[in-house]
Amino acid sequence: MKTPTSGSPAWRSRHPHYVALTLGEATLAVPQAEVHTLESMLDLEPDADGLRVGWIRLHGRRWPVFCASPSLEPMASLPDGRRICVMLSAASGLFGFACDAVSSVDAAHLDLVTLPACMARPGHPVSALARSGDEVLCVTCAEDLLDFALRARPETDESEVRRTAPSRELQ
Amino acid sequence: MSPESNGWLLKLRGGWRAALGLRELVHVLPYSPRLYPIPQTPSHVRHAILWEGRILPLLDLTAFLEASSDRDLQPATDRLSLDHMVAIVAYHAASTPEVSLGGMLLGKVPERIQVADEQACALPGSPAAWHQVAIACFEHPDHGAVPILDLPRLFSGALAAHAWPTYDSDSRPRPERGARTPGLIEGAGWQIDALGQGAALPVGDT
Repeated sequence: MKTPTSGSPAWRSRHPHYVALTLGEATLAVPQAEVHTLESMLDLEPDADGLRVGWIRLHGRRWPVFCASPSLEPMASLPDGRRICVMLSAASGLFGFACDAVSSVDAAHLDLVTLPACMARPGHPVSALARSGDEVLCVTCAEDLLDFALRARPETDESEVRRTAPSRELQ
Repeated sequence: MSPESNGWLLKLRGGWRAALGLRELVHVLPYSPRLYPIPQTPSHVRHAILWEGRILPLLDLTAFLEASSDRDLQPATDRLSLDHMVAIVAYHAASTPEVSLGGMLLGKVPERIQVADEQACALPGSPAAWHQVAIACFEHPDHGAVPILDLPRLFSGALAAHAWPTYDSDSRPRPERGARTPGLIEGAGWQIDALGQGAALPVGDT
C-alpha cells in the first residue's frame, strides 16, 4: 500500500500527523497512526541476522527489530546513537525500526512532492519527499518499510514475521 | 555561414565538459547548498537540495559517466567537498506541460558559448554513457567534442533504468544520436520569463 503523495488536502486529512525517524543524515517520515509504541533499544534481545538486529518483547510476544543505514542498507550491528526503537504496525504485525531520534510532524506543515522520476524505481520504499522547514523528509509507510526490509534480505524467513501477527494478542 | 546559437559550457567534476541551451541554465548557486541524502537512489542522484522552498533532485553527471564507464556504481557524491557548486537547470518533462527544475553538480563556473552548425560532430566514443544523455555534439576549439545534454532524459527514470537493470526502460522515442546540429542548443522552444534572474518559476512537482 503506497502512501498518497499528491500533497492534496485529501492526503493530509488521511494522515494529519507524521513521525520523523532520524537515521543518521537521512530522515524518514511515517504516518503517526502506524506508530504503535516507542521502545528503548536497551530492551533489545540481540539476535543479529542480516538486517534484523534482534527482538523486542511486547504484549507477550517478540517482534523483529531492523536496523538500516541512512541509505537504507541493512546493518548487522547497531551504530552509536540508535537508542530508540519505533514499533511500527503493518498489516501482518508489529516490527521495530532502530532510530537515532523520533519527533512528531504536523502534515499541515509539510510541503510534499512525489519522489523525482530520476530517483524512483519500482518497490522503492520512499514514495514522496517532504519539506519541513529546512529539512527534507523521505515519506514512507510501515508496510513499505517492512516489505523493503524483507526484500533487502531475501534469506529472511518472512513467515516468521507473519506468524507474529499481533491481532490475537491485541484483541 | 549559419547563425550561431547561445549556450553554456558546463565544467563538471573530473574534467568532463558538456553543454546546455541558454535558457536551460537558470541559476548558479553562490553558495554550497545542504545536501539531503535520499535512500536507495542511483549513485548519480543520491541527494536532493532545497532551492527557493522547492525540493529538487541533485544530479551528478560525473558519477553517471564514471559509473557507466567501468560498470561499478561508486557513490561518487559521497566524495563531495564542502564547497561543491550547484546549478539550477530547467527542462520540460514528458509527464507535465510545466517547466521542471533540477540541480546539477558542477566543478567550475559555467562559461557562455556560441555554437554554429558547422561545429557539429559525432559524440565521443567513450564513455558510452554519452549516448544516453546527449542529443547532439559540437567541436569546441579548446575542449574538443562537447556533448549537448538531453535534460528531460537526464531527469527522467531512464538513467535509473541504466543503474538498475531490472528497471523498465524508458519507452520515450529517442532522438538520433550525434547527427543533429548544435542549433538545438537554444533549447526546446519554451520560454522562461525570469531566465537568469533567479526568480520563481512556474513549476509543478518534480
